[in-house]
Amino acid sequence: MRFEDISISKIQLDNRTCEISFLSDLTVLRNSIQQKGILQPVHLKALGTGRFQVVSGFKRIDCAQALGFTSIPAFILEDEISLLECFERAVEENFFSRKFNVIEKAGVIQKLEKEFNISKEVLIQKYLPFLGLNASETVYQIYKNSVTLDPFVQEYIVRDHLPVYVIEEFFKFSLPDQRVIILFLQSIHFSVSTLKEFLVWIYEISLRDRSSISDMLLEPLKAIVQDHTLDGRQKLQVLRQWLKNKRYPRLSTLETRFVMLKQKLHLPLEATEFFEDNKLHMKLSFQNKKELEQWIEKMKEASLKPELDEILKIV
Amino acid sequence: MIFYRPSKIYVDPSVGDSPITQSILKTFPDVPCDYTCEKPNILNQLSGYSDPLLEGKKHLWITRNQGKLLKKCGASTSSLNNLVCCNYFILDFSFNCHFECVYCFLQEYTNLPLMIVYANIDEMLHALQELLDTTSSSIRIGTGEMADSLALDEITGFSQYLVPFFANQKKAFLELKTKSDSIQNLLKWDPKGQTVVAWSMSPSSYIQKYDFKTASFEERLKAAKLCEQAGYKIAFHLDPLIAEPTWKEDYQELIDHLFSNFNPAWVSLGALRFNANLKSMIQKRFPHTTLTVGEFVSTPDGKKRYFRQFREELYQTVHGYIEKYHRQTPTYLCMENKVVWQNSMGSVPLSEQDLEKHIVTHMGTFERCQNLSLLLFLRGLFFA
Ligand code: SF4
Repeated sequence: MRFEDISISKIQLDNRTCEISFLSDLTVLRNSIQQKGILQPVHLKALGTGRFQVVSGFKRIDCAQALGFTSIPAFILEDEISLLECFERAVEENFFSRKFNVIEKAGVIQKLEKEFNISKEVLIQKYLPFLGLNASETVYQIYKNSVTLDPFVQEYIVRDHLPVYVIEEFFKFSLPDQRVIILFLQSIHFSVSTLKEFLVWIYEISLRDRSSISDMLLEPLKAIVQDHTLDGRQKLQVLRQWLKNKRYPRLSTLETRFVMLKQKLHLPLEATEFFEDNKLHMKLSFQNKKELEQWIEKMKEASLKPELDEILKIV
Repeated sequence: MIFYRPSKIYVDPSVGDSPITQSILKTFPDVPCDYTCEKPNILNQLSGYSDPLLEGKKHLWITRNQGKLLKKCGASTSSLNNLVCCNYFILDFSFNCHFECVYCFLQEYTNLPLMIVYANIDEMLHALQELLDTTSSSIRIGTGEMADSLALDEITGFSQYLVPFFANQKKAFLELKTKSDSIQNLLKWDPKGQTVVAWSMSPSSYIQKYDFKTASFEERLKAAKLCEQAGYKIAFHLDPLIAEPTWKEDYQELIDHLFSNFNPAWVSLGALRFNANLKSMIQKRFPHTTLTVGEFVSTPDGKKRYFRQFREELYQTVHGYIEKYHRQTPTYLCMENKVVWQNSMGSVPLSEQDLEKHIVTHMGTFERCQNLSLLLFLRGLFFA
């Protein structure tokens, strides 16, 4: 390996075989290069024709070119080194200097498979652990599927640091549906767990009702998101309830009825989750005898109301 | 029904001479066969397939069951303390099934997805005898827990050992639970009233939609009729009960069909249930299935079930259809708690022994006495 200043015009900039980065912010790097120049040389592979292929340093080269640099300091890897070895070096170099996001790891796996013809077995056994992943078919499939996601979904995944168990939910949707979902997600912010629930529910509703995702997202849900009388949290609540009613119509009716009856009884009644048990629970707090007596009075009143019989029938 | 044909057979030499092994090898003389004391190597390669379960089923491993040959039914050993169980024993003679029921819980066993036949039949019969020698009450023993009891019977010939063995017993009943119509071996024996062949039954369209490769509705009924004529008692498991939009009419029709053609020894009801792992497995293997999109909620044992009030409605309705026939057919719920029992069936069995006694007493008395009032009395006696 030798060190040289290489003219950017001699570099094959369109050959991105060894590129790994996905969605990186170049602002900081550009500013640094503008102020201090390129501190860390890039790695290039000599192609034997006086031209060079980039092994690592795509972002540095792109910034340098945008800033009007004509040459760049580089370590030159000789022609004898195979491209696969170069790629492995690129991965290693990147991997030790920063954390790869999911789509970058997926990209590495895809390149190893497609560009370097690495068999699935070797990928699973050798390269998944190399990327800090479990050597299993399931993990391999997840990453393989991630590459096929709509680019906007990929971007969303990276920006929101979505974990694999949420990413998996996107695989169930067609590419056009993914695009519709992503457009919808621009207008409302879900936490990770509510996003998972949202994706599961819209998928299951569309499967059950044989309805299209866009019909669901464009009509009723869009109206909720665009309702200016609601703040962000309220929108999420209304949207969640709408979906829950649709996904669990009978259970939701039961729950709504329960809440209504409970309010009429003026008691802090609770049922077990999803009414799995047939008992009602009540937790009372009081500070003195008078407060206790008030509770007793409320209970007496409740025991005479027809709503009590009805709520007991529900559970 | 689709018959099973392995692409490779692995034989554990310790059961090489077993008549079960010999029967399998005779059925498939042209299938490559490896003798090995180890677990088949293919297990390490299955993860490379897009559907390891489907691939695994092409490989048949004939081995010796090293574990407990007879076990109490999973529900009776469940960690949940309010589950109501029958006193049921399971003979582990085989593991896995070449049928593809969408809801099958065996799909979860991804660490050993081969077709496994345990060929140490002598040890199994010995274990059965030991259990029977030490049991005072009547018991039911089934083989259809980790496999379909009859799906491979024409290959393995298991029933030819089990049916005559139970024919000589007085207080034990063998239950062969199936979705197949592989009954040719059964028709060769007189079960002397000690073997019940139980078909898992669903409305015909549900079978087409969810029970791939199994015998059709008509094939199952035809097989049941032949078995009945050969002296077998017939039972039905309506498990899983699936709440399709038209479930009320569908199950009404099913019960009418079953009860106008048979006088079942018992009927069990079990609403569809699965855990989270199985749900993702189902969605992965059968991406367009609507099976998992019902109103399922998590229940305390980690399984997803229809919410309780809906399960109760399912059970009450189907049980109501059965009751209309006034046959006093023992009907029990599978893997359900006391609340559901009480609300759906109007009573809760006092104990698993009582439930079991109720079922087998009905079997014994069913033929000998037609006195319905006695049966009603028994029913009152065993239910709280
Ligand atoms: S018949 Fe039973 S064991 Fe076989 S696939 Fe169906 S549910 Fe599973």
